[in-house]
Formats: sequence, C-alpha cells, structure tokens
Amino acid sequence: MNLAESVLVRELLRSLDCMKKNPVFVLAVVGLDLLFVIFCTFIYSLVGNQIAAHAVLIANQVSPMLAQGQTGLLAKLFQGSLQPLTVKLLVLVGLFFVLLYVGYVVLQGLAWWFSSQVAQSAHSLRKYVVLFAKLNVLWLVLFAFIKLLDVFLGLRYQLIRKFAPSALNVSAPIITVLFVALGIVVFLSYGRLRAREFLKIPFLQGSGLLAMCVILFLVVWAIVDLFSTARFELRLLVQILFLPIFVLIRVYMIRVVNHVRA
Amino acid sequence: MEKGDWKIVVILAIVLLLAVLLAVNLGRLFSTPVATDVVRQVVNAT
Repeated sequence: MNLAESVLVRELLRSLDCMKKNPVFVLAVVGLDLLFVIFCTFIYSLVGNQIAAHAVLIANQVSPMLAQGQTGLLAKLFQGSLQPLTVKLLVLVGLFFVLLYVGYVVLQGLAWWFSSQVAQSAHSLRKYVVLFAKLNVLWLVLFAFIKLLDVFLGLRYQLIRKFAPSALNVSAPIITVLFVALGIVVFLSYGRLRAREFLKIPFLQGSGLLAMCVILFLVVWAIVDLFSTARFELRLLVQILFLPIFVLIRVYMIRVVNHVRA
Repeated sequence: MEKGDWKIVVILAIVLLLAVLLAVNLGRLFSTPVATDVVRQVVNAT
C-alpha cells in the first residue's frame, strides 16, 4: 500500500488542513491549555502546600516508628494524636482531586470540544461536556485507585528495606506501566467519548496512531529542549509557540478514531 | 458555536470561578499555627 494512501498519513495531512481552516478554534484550544496549566499551578500552590505540611507533620511522628521497625503503620495513622492529622490530610487530598477534576472538565472539556469541531466531528457542546464529565469520573476513580496502591506499596517497601536493605522495589515499574496504560486508554477514549474505545480500534492502527502522536510530541520536545539554556522569557515563548502541536495531536486522534470506527 | 452554547460556557466559567474561590479559602479553613509554620518551611525549602 502507498504510504500517502494509508489512514495514518492521510488523516495527519487532513488534520493540518482542518487546523489551517479553523485558526480561531486552534487559538481557543491553545488559550485553554495555557489556562489549565495556570489553574493547576495555582491550585497546587494553595492546596498542595497544605497537603505537604500535613504529610510532613505525619512523617515526623511516623519516622521514629519506621526506624524501630514497627508494623501495622496504616492502623496507627488512625489512632491517637495521628488521627486528626490523617483525617485532615485525606480531606485535603480529596478536595484537591475534586478541584482538579472541576478544572479539568471545564477547561480540557472545552479544549477537546473545540478540537472535535476542528476535526469536523459534530457534537453539541452541552452533550459533549456532560459525556466528558461522566467519562472522567471513571478515569479519576481509576487514577485515585492506582495512586493509593502506589502510596500503600511505597510505604510497605520502606518498611521492607528496614529488614532487607537490598530489597528490590518491584512495585515501582508495575505502577509506572499501570499509569502509562491508563494514559493511553484515557487518550483513546476521548476520540468518541467512550470508555472502551481502545478495545474497538484495530491494534495496528491504534499502535500506529500512538506512535505518530509520540513522535510528534518528541519532535517538539527536542526543539524546545534546544532552548533549555536560553533566557526564561525566550523559553516560555518557544513553549507557547509549540502549544498548537497538542491541538494537532487531539485533532489527529479524533479523526483517525472516527475514521477507523466509521 | 451555536447561540445557546454561550450559556454553557458562562455556566462553566462560573463553576471554575467557584472552584478557585474554594481553593483560595481552603488554606484558611485548614491552616493551624503548626501547619502554617510547616507550610512556610516547605515553601522555603522548595
């Protein structure tokens, strides 16, 4: 088969064409992406510092227990003077997730809707935002579950190291693979706003699509990295100038997924 | 964009604003003298 005739190459060229025809929507997505970064930084600086403070206060009391090689630390977190700190920390982490979820649905929901408009995939905004919010509840629960597993296994590893200092951290690469797999499933689900979309895309086309997106991202990363020693203002400008690549990746994915599932 | 879409954008903007307001006040709601001191140390360390 001719390379230019393959779905992956043809849709990439058409995505670029679609972006050229809708510069206002592309700018809107870039603006929303920038706003999302600012929102995350702002929320993290406010809530993240409180979370860090409570984690430090808990760690100050847990560290001597760890040093003594005590077990049953999870139960001890909900006893005595540690209990109010742990409850506060859990409430703060919960609120942090909720705030990030709201910001994500509002800003990224709009960004993905604009991208689907650029990709000529018709949806009403109301229907799109509702579906996007529902879908992301599932992804948030899965993300929180993997994160909890990460924290739980990390604590166990710290304890195991007290008894066997050369013990291998087996859970760390498994958790990383789980996060990457979740990222891929989430990314592919946004094409048609269906959770199990990754199961319905032919394997070769799905792998090709992901490879193309990764290559596009790495090319931009390499270009941005060339300016790593430049002045802060120039680095920021270059990063903003290359933000449309994320619009291209979104538009391209939506077009390919809709094409192979049509 | 359709005519009715602007209403949804305004509602989403209000929701986002409320989330920011909650985040701003969260620090006050949860801060205790000890935690505030630790926050200062964490911020200084980073």
